Amino acid sequence: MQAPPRDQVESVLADIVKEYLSRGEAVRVTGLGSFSVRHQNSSIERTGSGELKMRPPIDEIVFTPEP
Amino acid sequence: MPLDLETEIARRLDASPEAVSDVLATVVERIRQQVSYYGYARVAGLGTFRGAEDCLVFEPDPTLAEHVNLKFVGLDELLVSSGPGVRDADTKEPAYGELDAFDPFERAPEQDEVEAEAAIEPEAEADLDADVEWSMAWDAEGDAEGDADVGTGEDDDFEEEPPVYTFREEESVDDVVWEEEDRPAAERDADEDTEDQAPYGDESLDDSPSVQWRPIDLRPESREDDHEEVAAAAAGAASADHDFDDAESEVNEEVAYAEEDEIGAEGAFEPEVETGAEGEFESDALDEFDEEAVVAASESETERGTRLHESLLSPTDAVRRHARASARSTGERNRSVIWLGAGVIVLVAIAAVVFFALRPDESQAPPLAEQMEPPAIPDTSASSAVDETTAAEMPPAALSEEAEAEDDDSTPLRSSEGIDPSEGGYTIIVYSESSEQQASDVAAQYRGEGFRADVLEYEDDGATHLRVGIGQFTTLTEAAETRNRLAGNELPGDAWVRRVP
Repeated sequence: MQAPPRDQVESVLADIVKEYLSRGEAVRVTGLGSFSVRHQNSSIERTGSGELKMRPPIDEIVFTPEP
Repeated sequence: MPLDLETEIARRLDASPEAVSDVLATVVERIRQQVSYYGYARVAGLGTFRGAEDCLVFEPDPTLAEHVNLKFVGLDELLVSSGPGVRDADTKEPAYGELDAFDPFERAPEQDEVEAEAAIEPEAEADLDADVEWSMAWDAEGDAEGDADVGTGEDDDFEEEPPVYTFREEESVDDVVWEEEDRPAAERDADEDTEDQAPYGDESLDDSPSVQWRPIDLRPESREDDHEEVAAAAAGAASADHDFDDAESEVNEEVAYAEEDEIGAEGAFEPEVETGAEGEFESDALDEFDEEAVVAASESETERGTRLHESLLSPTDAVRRHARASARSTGERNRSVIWLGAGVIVLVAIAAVVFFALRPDESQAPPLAEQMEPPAIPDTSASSAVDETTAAEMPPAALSEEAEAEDDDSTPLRSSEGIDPSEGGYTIIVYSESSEQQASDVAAQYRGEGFRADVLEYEDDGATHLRVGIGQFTTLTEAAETRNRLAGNELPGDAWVRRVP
């Protein structure tokens, strides 16, 4: 089998990372780092005008580089 | 089970894991090289890698972040509470404290503590003090007889809560109408003539006995000696510039005097009558007052009445009214100051423009010929780098005073001698031909004009050129200056500088 083109590998890599992060799973790329998600619950914050607002939950994408 | 990335990619691309592993390593290496070289590397659909402190920082692509948070779509920020009165979710206490709702025109009995405190005590009638805040005037007629209806001589009446007076503020102060609760019929009959005093009296009187409001005529002529001070105080209060504290004290004094006039239990207390006249109640003045107390249509009297009304109001109301008036005057003063400052700034700006416009132009440079220094031409004495093209393209240098001075006594340019090749230097070529005769004729012609001219032989491109040189200069700069000065006049316009062979 021939080696796939680089751009195709990059595209598939992006798709895999997107898919696994959506499921909450981590992806490790050898030589680069690890992609994972960190869930942040909803919280109530006070704005500058004194209003109280509830911020919705969010999954934050975290990248841990390899040395 | 941890993800085997190479296997997954190989499966999706229908390739071998080994090949995918090699390509993936290449991708990673390329990313690191780009980060180290350009500072960032972007992978489409994934994000951007940046270098920071010997490590990689990843910024996800917006599409990636949106896809990851697809399950939270529709959950926007929710406003829990807003504005003052917001309660902290943790402490459940007011965030900023509760604001006291206050309507200066709404006075409930339970809030009117000031009026309750200022209620007149019969025992205090004899010790009327100008600092005492009066909120109402007690009609003293009949009090000496202990008229219970009036209540001034009865302690029981004073133990009751003072009647609450409310007023409706009409469009103008002149239309303020006092509503009275209860008014003795006898008093009303006596005051029938005074019902027309609209600013003070109330037309809707009932017959029930109670405290009544008796308007005070502050006209000096009605109470000449007795109310001189009061009239003066009222006139002073009519001025909008007086200090509020002083006005309040004046008004209080005015009210005090007016009150004292009305009190009959301890005798009439005329402002300038000794209080020893207990039991007396001089009603003459009051009778006159009743008849003459009809408020004229004069504006000044209305103002005095207004002041009196204000004084009879709760002190807080009077305070607020005066505060508003002073605030208005302060605001007007502030506006005038602002306009004055703006006018001063405009005048200063106009003066600055005129100054700079009329100032002599100091920046006007002297003629270029006198100011410009000769261009810095590198010394090429070690090589023959200066050729015809370079000399012809040199920008014309400005004349300098020294050059002019040299020109007059210029030995390098004007001399009966010819050009000595052994001395080297530079010369101005004005003619170039292969014919020696023609070159000699041209040289002789320039010599006849006083120039230092000679025929020089140059070897260029394998050919021998006979050129007529004018002058022999030690430096290229000097030669160039002379050439620029004389080219087109005494020398041909296409003359150029060349090193003496």
